[in-house]
Amino acid sequence: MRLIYLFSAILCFVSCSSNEEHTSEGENQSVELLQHQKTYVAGGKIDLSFETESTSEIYLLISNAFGNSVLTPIKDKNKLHFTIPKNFSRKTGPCHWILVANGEQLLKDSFRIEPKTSAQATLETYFGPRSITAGIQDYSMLVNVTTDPFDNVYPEGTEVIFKSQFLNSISEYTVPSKDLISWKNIYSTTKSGRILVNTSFKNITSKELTTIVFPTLGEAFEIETDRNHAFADGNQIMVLRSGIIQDKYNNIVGDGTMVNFIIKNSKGAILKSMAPTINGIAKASILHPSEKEEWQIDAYITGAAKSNSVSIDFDAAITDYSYEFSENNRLITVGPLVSFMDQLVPDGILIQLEIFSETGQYLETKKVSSIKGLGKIEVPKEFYPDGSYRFICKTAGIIKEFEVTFNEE
Amino acid sequence: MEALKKTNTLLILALIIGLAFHGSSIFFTLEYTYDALIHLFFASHYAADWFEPWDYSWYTGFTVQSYPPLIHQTIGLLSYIGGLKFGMFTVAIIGIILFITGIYRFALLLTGNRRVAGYTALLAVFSSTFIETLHIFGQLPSVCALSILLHAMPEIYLWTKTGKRRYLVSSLSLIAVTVTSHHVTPIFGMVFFIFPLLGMAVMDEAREKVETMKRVSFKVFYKALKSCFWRIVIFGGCSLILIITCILPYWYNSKRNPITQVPIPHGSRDNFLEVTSSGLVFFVIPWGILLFILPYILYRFYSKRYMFFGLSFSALTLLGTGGTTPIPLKLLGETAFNILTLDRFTLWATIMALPIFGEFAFRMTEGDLKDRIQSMLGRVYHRILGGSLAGGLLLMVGFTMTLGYFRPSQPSKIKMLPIVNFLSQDSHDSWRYLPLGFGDQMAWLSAQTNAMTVDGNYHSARRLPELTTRAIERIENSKFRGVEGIGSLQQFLTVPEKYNLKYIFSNDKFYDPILYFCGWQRLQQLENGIMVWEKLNVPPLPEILPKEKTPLFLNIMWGTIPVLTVILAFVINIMMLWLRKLRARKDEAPNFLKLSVAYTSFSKRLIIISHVWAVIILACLVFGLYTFYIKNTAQLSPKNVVQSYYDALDFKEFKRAHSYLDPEAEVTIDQYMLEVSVTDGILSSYAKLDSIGIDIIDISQAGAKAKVSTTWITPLEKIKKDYFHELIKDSGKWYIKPKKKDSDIPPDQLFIANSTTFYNHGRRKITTQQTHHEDVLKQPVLEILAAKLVRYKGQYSIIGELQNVDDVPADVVIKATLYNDVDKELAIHNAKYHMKHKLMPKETTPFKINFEGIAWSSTKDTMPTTFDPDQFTPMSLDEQPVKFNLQSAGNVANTDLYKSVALQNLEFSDYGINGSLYNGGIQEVTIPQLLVSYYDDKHELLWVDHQFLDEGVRVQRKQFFNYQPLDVAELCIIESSLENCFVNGLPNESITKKVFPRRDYSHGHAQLQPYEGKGYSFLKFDINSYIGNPK
Repeated sequence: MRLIYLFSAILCFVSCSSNEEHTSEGENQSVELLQHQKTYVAGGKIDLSFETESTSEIYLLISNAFGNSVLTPIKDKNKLHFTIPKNFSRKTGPCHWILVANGEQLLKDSFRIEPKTSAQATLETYFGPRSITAGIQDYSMLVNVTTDPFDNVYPEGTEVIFKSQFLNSISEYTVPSKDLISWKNIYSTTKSGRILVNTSFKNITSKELTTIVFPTLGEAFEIETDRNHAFADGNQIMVLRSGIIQDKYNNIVGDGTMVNFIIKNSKGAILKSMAPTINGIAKASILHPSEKEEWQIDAYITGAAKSNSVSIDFDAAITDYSYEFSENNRLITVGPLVSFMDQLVPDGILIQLEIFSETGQYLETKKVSSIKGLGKIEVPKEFYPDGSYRFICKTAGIIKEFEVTFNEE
Repeated sequence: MEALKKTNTLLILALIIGLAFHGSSIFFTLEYTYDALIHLFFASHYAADWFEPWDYSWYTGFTVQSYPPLIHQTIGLLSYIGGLKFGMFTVAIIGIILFITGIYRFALLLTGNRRVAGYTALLAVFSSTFIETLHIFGQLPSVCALSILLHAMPEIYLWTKTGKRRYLVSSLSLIAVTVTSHHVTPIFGMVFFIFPLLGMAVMDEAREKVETMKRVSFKVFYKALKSCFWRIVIFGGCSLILIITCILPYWYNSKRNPITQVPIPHGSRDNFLEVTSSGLVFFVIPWGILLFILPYILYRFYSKRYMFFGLSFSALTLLGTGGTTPIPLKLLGETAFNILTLDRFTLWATIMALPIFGEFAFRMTEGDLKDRIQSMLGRVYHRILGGSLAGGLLLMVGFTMTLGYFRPSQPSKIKMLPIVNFLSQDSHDSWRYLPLGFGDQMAWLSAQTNAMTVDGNYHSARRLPELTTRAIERIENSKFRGVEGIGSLQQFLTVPEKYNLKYIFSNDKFYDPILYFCGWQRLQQLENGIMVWEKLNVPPLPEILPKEKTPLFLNIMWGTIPVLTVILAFVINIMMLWLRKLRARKDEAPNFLKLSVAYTSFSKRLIIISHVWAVIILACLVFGLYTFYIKNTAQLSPKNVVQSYYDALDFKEFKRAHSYLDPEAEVTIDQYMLEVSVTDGILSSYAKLDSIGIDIIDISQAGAKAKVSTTWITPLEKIKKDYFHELIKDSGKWYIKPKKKDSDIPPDQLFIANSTTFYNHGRRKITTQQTHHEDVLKQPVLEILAAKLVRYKGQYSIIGELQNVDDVPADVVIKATLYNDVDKELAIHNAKYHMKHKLMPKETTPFKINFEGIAWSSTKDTMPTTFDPDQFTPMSLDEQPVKFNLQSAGNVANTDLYKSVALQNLEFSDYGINGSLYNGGIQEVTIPQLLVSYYDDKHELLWVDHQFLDEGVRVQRKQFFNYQPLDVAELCIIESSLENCFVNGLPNESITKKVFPRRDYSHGHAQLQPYEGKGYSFLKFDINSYIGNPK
């Protein structure tokens, strides 16, 4: 476009300079416009004709929303015909023209091009955001632009019908266009679901557009625990489950909403398990503790909702255990570990042995997991030369302390 | 004389064998070489756009005027006939022919004996140095340039000797072809080949003036030099002009973009005695059988006629020894030593020695040496000796050819078509991509696709400071380049928006964890097994990309001169020859044929010296093999068995590892494999053993203890771990006692779990048009709950907490900018792995943004010698940052949303916090990450720390961890404000007001763990789980 402009400017310049002599002669430059139509319909043929006695080169500069151009006339005796190009005649709005000769303005005027409302209109419809939150505050905006076949916007005040459907109700609004567009805020509903909208104008309708109404923030909810027995065997799985979490309009919160189950144990440690909801229910799991415990459980949707507090006690599954030494005291066998029915505990109970030197300096923690109720820990002489050591054995919350002397003579 | 005129059957034989042997084997080797595919990529550039020097495919754009173009252009031209690979193989075959004929002519020039030259040509076919250069390195331009240089040698000699102008023209025409093929060859060729040649020509001139060679004194030589002086000057001057003008654009580019990068380590600069693998590849293989006859070569080269060649040969040999002796470094100087690859000196030395080898073979098979040995040591000995030499030669050929098979230098061949198709689908080429673990095959991918990559395979053309400041060839193989490699890669992964990098093709699962923790997600596995990773929220490439313009005349020169030199050389050297032959004019034999020596009496002393030398070499060889055996025989000593066991584990050869376990312990291979298969985690699946220190304690006849200190390189961190093993000896072999495994057993056999899953269609209508706006998902709304600029240990970080307040899962990207008090921008960076990148609705994550500088941006900084992937280079800030801007963006996520890991237990002790994680879901967590947030007594966030757990958490099982809390008393909060925080471009404040107007802050406080630490009162543990194999 810029090139055309530049080219025409150069053309003007060249023509001006070459015709300089003519102007100096002071020729008669009277020109008359032959027709005086002030409005045209977009896409129609627009001709401007002039009558002149002048023999000099005359051009028509036109300018509208499409751009600027210089037109050369078709001469017919003393008449000049200018045909406005399609690109210009299809664009609505004012179109200015200037008739120039030898770089001088002869005539200047403008006309208007109106949208072609007689042809079938096209609807451009936008709806967004695509999801909103239930309540009375949030909304999606439905925007419609009615255009003619040349993509010109219909005149201001064109009335477009907006329709929206939610559950059983269908609403209809007539929205006049302003500043090129017709628009309406479609407000959220208190119930979650899906709002469908469309627009129509005369006999044309847009396609169906959607926004999803998501539930809003969850409200206070209930939680419960589900476990097989009340013993702290460190093996069984306890399920933490919420009730159906709803928002303040009784919508079930959106699937995937994260619920944090915060467990405070009797030693003040904060443990946690978390789960996203399905149909409003969050279901997390955690293992039974391996020693006598009291757990206080709260659940949160952080910042939005808190559950009731649940307290739950675990009884010790293992009440006591024995240990014995063999192989010059270097092999320590812990167990057999028996559980609440005097059954051997399931494999994998953690047995920790903290080793301290004679002077009380911490050396190492050895961890083994029980197999068939027994845990065997070896204290190799390569790393623990002969001497006295203090051992603290921790299993299922039961702490036993003993001193051992290695002497391999 | 008549016999000499006949066609040389040995040369014909050499050509036939050479073409049959190399011509057929290149189809199995060339594509797996280091360089061949790079040249193919360059060729594809010329084939696509001959005169345009700028290529956008690599390094965000580079110029192909950084490498002489002839070979690339020839492949490009040939590709119009039968495709790129046809072009490459054709050029390789031409190279083979040129090499064999070239070495023949060179040998003929040197020895003046057609028979010897024939032997040379035959030996050249089997020379290990040529095989290595072609079949292992794939250096096509280098091979072709050297061959043409060899062709030029007789012409140069004849010009110097006779002064006939046609020799000047023909020699210059060949020099021009050499220059346009490879720039280094003519420059160093001048020094190491042409200077001695000129010396020899002058020497011959002098010889002709007196009766015998012995009479050639310095005075005679000086006189001869004077008579040849102007010819030499003319030739030298013209060659210099050719070297400059033929590839003028190359010099122009070198001047404009000087190579200011950190030198890339190259094996040829190693000390070959220390790094034996480099010694093998860059010394033993190229020299091969020549090592045994080194005394003969030196003896011949230091005869008066070849004296200058002798000097040149010695210099080349010395330079080729790399870092073994300090001499090459001193000779070349630091800069040249670090830029040049020294293997080329060895290549030249061995090529130069070939004619002498040919002469030796001639004398050995049918000359005086044969007679001498037969008379001295008998016929049988001669046959055995000849047989062993021939056998040795063949052994080296076989060894060199199969090296690439037994020790592949490249990943196995990747089918590129699925990747090419993926890139051309659905506008995927509107973003840059990055291949990982492709080896040099990445060049072949680049040659086939329009898409661009940030990486590249021609390191001299690198432009991004992230690359040039590090000693890495490619990001693609960064794991082999230690800290610099992974560091470079992490920068690209953390801030991919900067490079419009959206897709990663991973052929090496080693990189998977770093991709996940940097916020990338798996997109799909292509049918060739390559995993595609993508990053959300990366803008596509702009339509117009910047490029460096070169003057038009340079582009035209670059596009025309190289091919013109070939046409000219062809016309001058071959057409003219034909024309002369057609005119049946009797051609006089070239001057140098008169100077052949008669091979009459082989020196006895030389035979003895050679034998002594050969014995020394053999002794070295045997000693080398013996030490290799001792070191590598697994169960010979306790140390060996531990070493071999860890080696087997490192290479995942579990069957071998099992064979080192004590058979008495009765762990069956099935049981062992089962135990291996259930261990997962960063150490067992993603770690590479970096170093191992074995301490054998208490060794006795039957047993020992080993303390094994290992360091493992993982894509995320360097992990140090100590292991203890008991070793036992049983019937002469050492074994490792197997260890007990965790016996934890879950209560249930069958687990049932429900989960919420998400799916995003992308576009619902199949169209090449732009995606419909109603198919574009709304960006999930996030809320920044806290954001602070802090200084801790002299380093600035932005920490904070963020929540996904939308109803859909979000992928979160956070970018922070630091400003000084007058709003001058100081630094920008993204959050790396100190956050959970994927958040479920209402889930929160702490985050930390470290401002990482480009590591070693000043090349003077000393680089650490060992690998440390998590080494961090803080950005050096000139001014004090006081404000920050935080931009976060959410995009709908539908993968990597596994949240079923619970914090099962916590215990606070004097030696850290012990805890355990429990995996309550149905996916195996490969790498669990703990994010630990520190809070003060007012529940205000102070710091965010992280820890990766060494081992994974299996389904329904526990994993223990120990965390050492930090001392944050020194931490200083510089600014704490939510004012300049934005979410999806909107101010955070507006989101707080609209989405979460009545937030209950006590919920957050209730989830904190009270802990009396140094400088803080509360802790919070968050868990981020990487799943290696999602099911």
